[in-house]
Amino acid sequence: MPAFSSPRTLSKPVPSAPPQDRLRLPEWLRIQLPTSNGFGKTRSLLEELKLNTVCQSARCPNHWECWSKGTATFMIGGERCTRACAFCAVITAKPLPLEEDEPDRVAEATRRMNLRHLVITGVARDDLPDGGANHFRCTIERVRALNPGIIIEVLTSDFAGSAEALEEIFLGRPEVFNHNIETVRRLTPKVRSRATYEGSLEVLRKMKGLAGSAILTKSGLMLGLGETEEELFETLQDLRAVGCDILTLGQYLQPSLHHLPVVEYISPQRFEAFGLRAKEMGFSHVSSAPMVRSSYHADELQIPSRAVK
Amino acid sequence: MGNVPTELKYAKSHEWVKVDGGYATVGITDHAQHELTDIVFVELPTVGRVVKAGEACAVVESVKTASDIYTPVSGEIVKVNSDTTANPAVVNTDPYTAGWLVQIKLSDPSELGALMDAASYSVQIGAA
Repeated sequence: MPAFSSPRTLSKPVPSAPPQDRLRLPEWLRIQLPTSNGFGKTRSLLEELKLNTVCQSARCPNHWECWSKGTATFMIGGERCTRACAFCAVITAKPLPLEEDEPDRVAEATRRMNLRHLVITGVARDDLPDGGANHFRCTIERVRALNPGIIIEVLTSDFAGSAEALEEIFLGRPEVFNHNIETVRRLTPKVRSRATYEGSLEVLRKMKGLAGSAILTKSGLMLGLGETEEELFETLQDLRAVGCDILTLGQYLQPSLHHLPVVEYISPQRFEAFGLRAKEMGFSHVSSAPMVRSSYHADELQIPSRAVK
Repeated sequence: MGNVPTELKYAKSHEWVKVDGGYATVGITDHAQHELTDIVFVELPTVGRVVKAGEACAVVESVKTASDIYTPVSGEIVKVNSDTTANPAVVNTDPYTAGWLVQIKLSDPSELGALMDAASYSVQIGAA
């Protein structure tokens, strides 16, 4: 009998058998649960510092690999999101107040895990006047104070389009600003919650406008939701038009039986072809493979830290 | 934390083993089913197949991942739990009881000595 009872692990009752027409997972998506102690060590540390990760909350299939290697993507602002995107397993619920010491705990975990490149994401906090932007900024600043030379990447919501919120993030001076377009224009209303296709392009455009080359902007899509190749390339062009520097493309996987079903499993070869096309379009860094996620192997980016030593 | 019954033995790859005479019943641990989340398919080996310890002998597929299950012991597969193919969710709800996967007639009981006890497995998964 499962011993877990925390909200993040409760799921709605599962039907006794999945639908017969369910697509089977292709062989290239098979994973291995970790066999070393690395996973357990990362897990213990995160539990000790009471930190949430998108790894766990969104049920990322890479999290065994990443945690075994001692990396994780922290999720700040609590584990309750104010949105209900159909592809995401993070709980939608009325959030609790921000924890004032969370930025310090993130900084401490970063130090103990000896991370060189940290990705910080957060739940949407539409309940807060600034959408949680100041909390993000504090976290960036606390992490940098305790971890000189670190590269900081933030992955945020659209902050409901707030220019002030984006400026707050800009003032935090992360090296990389990631905001995902998630899918093509046509599928956006079905796939996402409050965010819109144009709204997300605008977020990326604004940040690039504020920061220029001082901050790399990044975006990503999940593929296999029913988009066509033409629609995908159109989205990539739209991203380039707003100055997006970095792109991630990965296979959409259904986090639970209550989320959007997978329409198509795209082969590693096709992902590679998309990646090549994206590089031709001018993205400076591209990751395109079935298991790629926004922060997967993010440290392979190898960009210089802005910290002055 | 995860339920780790003390009377069972464990493999690093998250299988549990229950020994009874010369037979071993094998399944996946509570930690494993929790990590894999909602299981939607189980592929079991054919009865009669001879396996070596460490060999992939089954596949457990959840909504988001598919994972090979490795037999912790060598021997002949004498029984498989077809309840899990009919109703894969039982591996989530009862991983140590109704969700067992295969039963093996041991060809080398000394292999059991290489398996972990509950305490060691708990350390591995960060539950200790």
